Amino acid sequence: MATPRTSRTILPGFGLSLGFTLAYLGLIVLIPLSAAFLRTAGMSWHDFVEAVDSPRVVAAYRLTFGASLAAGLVNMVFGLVVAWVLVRYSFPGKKIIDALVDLPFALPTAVAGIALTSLYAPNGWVGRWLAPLGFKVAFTWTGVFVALTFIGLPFVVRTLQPVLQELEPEIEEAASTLGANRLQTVIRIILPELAPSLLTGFALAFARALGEYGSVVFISGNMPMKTEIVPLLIITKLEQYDYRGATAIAVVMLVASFVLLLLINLLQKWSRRYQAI
Amino acid sequence: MSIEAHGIRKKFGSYTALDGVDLNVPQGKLVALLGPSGSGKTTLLRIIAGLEFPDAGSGRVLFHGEDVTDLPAGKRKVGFVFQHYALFKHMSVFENVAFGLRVRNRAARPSDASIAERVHRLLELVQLDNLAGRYPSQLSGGERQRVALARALAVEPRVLLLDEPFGALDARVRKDLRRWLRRFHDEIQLTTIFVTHDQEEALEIADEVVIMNKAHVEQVGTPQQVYDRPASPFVYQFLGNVNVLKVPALEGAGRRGLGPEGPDPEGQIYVRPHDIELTAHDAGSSGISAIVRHIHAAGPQARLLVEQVHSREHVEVEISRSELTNLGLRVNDLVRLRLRQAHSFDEDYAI
Repeated sequence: MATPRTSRTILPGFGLSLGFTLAYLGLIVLIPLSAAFLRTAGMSWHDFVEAVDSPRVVAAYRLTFGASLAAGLVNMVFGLVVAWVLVRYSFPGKKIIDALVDLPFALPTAVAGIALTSLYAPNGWVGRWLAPLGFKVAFTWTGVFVALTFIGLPFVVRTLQPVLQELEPEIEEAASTLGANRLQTVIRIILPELAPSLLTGFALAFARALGEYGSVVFISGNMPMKTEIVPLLIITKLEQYDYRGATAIAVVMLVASFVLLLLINLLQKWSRRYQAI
Repeated sequence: MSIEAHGIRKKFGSYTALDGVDLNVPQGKLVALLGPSGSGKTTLLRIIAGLEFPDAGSGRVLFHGEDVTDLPAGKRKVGFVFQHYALFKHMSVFENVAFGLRVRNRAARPSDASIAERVHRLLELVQLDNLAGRYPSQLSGGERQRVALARALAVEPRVLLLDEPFGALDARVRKDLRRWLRRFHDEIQLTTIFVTHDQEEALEIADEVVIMNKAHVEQVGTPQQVYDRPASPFVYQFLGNVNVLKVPALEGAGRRGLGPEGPDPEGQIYVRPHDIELTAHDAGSSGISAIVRHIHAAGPQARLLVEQVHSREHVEVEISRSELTNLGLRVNDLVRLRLRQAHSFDEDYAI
């Protein structure tokens, strides 16, 4: 007698593809990451706390997470506007603007960093107009934030574009026949429909900003306690042959990022609770 | 609330969707806009709703004599139901129906309690009160369409406009839902226009049918009027099956009822399959001689395809099953055709 099957599926290859997925993720993601954990496991708890709890490290964490969060949020808002314009309207040069959105993906981040720095330095094109107003961008928190916003934009735009394209015009028409004005339609109908992909875009931009190194090191000035980001701190430690210190900082960063991304995923799941399974 | 439209023109680029269309829908009637796709019927409905606007300088839309041509959709107080429901996916059934009340400005907005009461009353009306907490994705097509209807009615519209309301449903649900719509309309007595390309649907439930073709209105009338007295060859062919016969084919027989002079000898006449009488082909009989080519006897009526002996033209004939049995017909039998009723559009010659 054949073994009873609890459920039959016509989609073959579940075992094979799941096995491959796990092996692949293990090889590419998990093993390198666990190496970091293993290295820190060699440290005593006291050393570990000391490595990650020094004021300089805490300031770097604060800067990286704070600026990444701010950049992600700003990208969420303006990425939505860019995606909206690219999907909803047609105008000359649209294709070029559409291609421009991808540039931060393609540009070596160091190039972006140098370009931004020369623009925003007190004697740069933009910086010279901001300096008399008492507004400094390069070599401050704001500079870090600007660089992180730059590299995060495509994530939000590219996540939203297909969703906006799929949005039925009828639901907006329905709202208008029911007496809703434009603002009410946007807030009550369009934004809730976009929420899951907005969150995805935000999560991607945020995660990218957390790990960003190349563009930030130029514009931030890398002053300890002020404009030093975590990835830079890790490099600094490595250059001093303090491998354990570097991995300890990395582990905290990893765990924090993982928890944050998990939270965003849960939020996203909640935001699509109305979808059929 | 009566609805009038006068001289509506609408172009999309170089494509003319409506070319000077007039429409008059009396208070409390259920009217069908019927036509093939591309005939302009949906555009006309959307212009009445305020979702599209007629081309500059052409046409007016009047609700009960009041000019609403320049009012946007939200100000016209119309209930609009979309073919694909257009429900708000992230809202429960209850919230979908309540939406129109919740977006009112503070002065006109009912209290939460009276919104709840009204929504439940509407959901009862469309027999969905037990599903108030569900999301649209958890409903069947027919249920979604009824939610869309309840949502449209929540704002107490002056007119109800339905764009192919049953188009996305399967045949069985369609039939049930359209009868339900008729009863529903009799209950609420709201002036209603619905767009459809399904002539059976239009003829079955509408008080009046407006038949559209190529940006024009072809004919307006009760279902019986348009079916029995089509105003144009298009209407004849669009409503039900019809045989188009060349007049010479009638030579020698079957001219009964064609009048003293008869139609243009080069012209065509239109005959419905059930308006043709079949008799056995024997010495005393008269009529067009034809050979039975195919018998399709599944269903309440038997449909026969016969070939005229002289012209070799094929004619579709519909007779009752019992008549078929009485005649004892088989494929390749000779029969005679007689036309009970036929129609010619040559020189406005109606038979």
